Amino acid sequence: MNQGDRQPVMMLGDYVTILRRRKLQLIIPFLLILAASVTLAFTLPPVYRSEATILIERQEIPEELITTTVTGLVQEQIESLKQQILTSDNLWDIAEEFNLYPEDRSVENRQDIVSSMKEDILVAMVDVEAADPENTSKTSIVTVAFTVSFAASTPEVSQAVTERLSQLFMERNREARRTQTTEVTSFLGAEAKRLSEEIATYERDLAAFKQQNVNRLPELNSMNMKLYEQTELDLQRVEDEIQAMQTQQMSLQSQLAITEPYKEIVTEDGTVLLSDSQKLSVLTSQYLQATSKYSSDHPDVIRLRREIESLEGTSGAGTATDILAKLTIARDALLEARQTYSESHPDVQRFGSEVATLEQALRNKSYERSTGAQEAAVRPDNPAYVSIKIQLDTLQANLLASQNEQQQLTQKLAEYENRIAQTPVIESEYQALARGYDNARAKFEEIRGKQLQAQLAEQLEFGSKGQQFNLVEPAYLPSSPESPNRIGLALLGVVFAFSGGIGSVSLAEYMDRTIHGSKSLVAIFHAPPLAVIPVIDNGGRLLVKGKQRRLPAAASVIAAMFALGLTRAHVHVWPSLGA
Amino acid sequence: MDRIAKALELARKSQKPSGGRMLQTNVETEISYTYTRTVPVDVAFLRKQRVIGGIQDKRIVDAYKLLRTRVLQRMQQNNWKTLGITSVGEHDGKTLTAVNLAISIAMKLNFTVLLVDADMRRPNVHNLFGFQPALGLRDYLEADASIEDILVNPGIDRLVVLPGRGGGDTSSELLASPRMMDLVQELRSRYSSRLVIFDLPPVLVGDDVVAFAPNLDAALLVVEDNKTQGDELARTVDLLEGIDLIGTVLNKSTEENQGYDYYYY
Repeated sequence: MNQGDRQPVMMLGDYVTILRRRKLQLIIPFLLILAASVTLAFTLPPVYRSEATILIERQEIPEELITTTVTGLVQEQIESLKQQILTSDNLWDIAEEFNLYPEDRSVENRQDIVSSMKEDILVAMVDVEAADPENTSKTSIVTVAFTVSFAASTPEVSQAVTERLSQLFMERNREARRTQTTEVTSFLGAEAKRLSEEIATYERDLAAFKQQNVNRLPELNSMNMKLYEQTELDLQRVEDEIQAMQTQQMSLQSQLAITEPYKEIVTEDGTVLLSDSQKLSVLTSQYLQATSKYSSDHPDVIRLRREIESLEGTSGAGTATDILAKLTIARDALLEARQTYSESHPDVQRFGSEVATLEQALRNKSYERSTGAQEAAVRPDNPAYVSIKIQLDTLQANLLASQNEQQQLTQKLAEYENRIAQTPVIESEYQALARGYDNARAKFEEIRGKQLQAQLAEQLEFGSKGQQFNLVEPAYLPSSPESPNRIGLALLGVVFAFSGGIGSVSLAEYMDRTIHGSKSLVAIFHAPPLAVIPVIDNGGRLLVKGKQRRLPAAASVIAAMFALGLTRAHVHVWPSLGA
Repeated sequence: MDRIAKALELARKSQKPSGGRMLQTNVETEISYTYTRTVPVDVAFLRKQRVIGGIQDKRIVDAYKLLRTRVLQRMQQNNWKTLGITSVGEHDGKTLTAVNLAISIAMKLNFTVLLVDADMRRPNVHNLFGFQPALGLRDYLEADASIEDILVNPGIDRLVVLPGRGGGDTSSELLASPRMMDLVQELRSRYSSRLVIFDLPPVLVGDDVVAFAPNLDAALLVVEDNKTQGDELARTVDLLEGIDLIGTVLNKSTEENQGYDYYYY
């Protein structure tokens, strides 16, 4: 069968032949494996598993109202709890308390005990497929509960340990949630405090800054601009007034100059006494005539000069008329220069100062005339003169006031100009401060809101209104062992036994290089044997037939034994299953 | 067969008073064995040795008869006189096959058979018949013993045994010796209707079979079912190349279906 040039086609009969030839190789492994597995199935110690179901209750108050600060999916939370609970120390304590694995438990193999405990503990999620409220075509897995179970050799121990484990889960969960919310609250509190300090700092800085740059703050810019414009208009108006008044003053002065302060005194001879100024002009013309006629040291010339000088001595260095004339010219020049150049231009300044000097001189002249002349001479009694004089005095007082105002306005204008110019310089600094303050403020508000939320959440957890575990099914006392599945093991044993038998036959057949049956000879010699002589026993009988009968007999004996074993197991080992 | 069995039974009964349970040869054929020593054979002993005569199961006897018929057909077709029976290894049932084939042929009335125990390493034919030969083939080849002195009639008609005797390691030389060739020549020519069957050593034990091959017209190979190794069988077939292999015998078979029609596709 294994030799030869051609591999003959295997037929059912060939397999039967092989099986008959190797019945011992089939039966012995079959019986051995069967016996071993059945023994194993019925001698394995029973394992009891108790289970507790813990319901995950959603928080009572809707999340829209209060959001808990405990984050993460339920599965994560449970897994995290599991890691916290199933620590070596915890497990070892439980093992000590409930006297688990009494034979093996010792400090040396503590780790082994812990490992086997971990294997015996099962934490399983109870998932429910729920439709997604937003997308109905999708479903999501929602964990609604979880189970904690422990496998032990007796139902009582299993129940006790499961109970302890489920309690641990409940307690640790509560603790963990409370700790977490408290931590969040305190963290947020500390953060709020820090931010309020930051805000105070900003506030101080801003106040100091504002104080320092009180009129230049960018927010005052538009006001400054308005003020500037207003002041400019005012200045313009005042200047116009001044000019008008000066013009009026000049006309009044010239009127005054040609008006005699005194009434005309007519002497008895009919001559009209001349006033000083009339005299002066007469004298001046006489002097001019004399100087053209005579030399300068001519007695007439000298006399005239003296007279003039005496007359002029009353009126100071120059005549008011001269000064006025000069003043008019200077003012025109100043106006012209101002139109062309800025205030700081040297020409403008020069003309300005000239005007100022001339005005001063004019005022002195008037004063001299009004006071000195008053003292020196008698009060003027010409009504026209007096009226003009009063008008002139009033005008001069007004002019003085207007000039003061002009000065003030100019100063103010410069001040506003300065403010407007400096605003952009401090603006960036100010903005930075203001922004920092606003940011801190916003952050503070946010944190403050969160802190309130967190405090609510803390109240939620401490008031046991948040998501919590509820032991809906406490650890029960298992009535029947969870494992081993003796029937299953036994049936598996049957399968293994068959496989083992067949395997052993196949292996033997594969390893076997011997000739089997006439077919092998046909394969080698291309002809069947001349004769096939069966095995003959010493009594001269065929052995084959007799042996053949033993195979079904042996098989039926095995089957009977097996059936009996199962029945017995059913009756004695699993009475509950039989019921 | 029945006749012989009855005869054997009768003989056994008649010998009872002497306690020897001897098998007596037929009176009519005694002439053929004038010079041959007759050895009485015990039927129970034959049965124990699985030799025809002792076999009760008809199917086994029929199997040997079938073998006999087919061998004789081929021998006669080719006018062959000498047939060597060999096997691949030891204890394959080669000698038993030789003995039973010889007995089966001898039972046909028109054939006489000479069974030569040429297995000089382990001669065993006499053990199957249950006698101890005083002389063997070796004595003829080595010591010039008379062949008539060596031949034994085992108590079966038309069957003469040339027993072997063990000892010595020159078996192949002896088998290939000219004296042996002469003996074979003489044996095959002495009787026209005689078949000479040589019980040879196993092919793979030594060079005996190969050395003796020229003396043989044909050879019959005994293969033990479930024991003979395939590669050994292949080597044997290689060694036997050049010899007319008349066929094979599947011995100690456990096959259920013994019918030949099974193999004729």
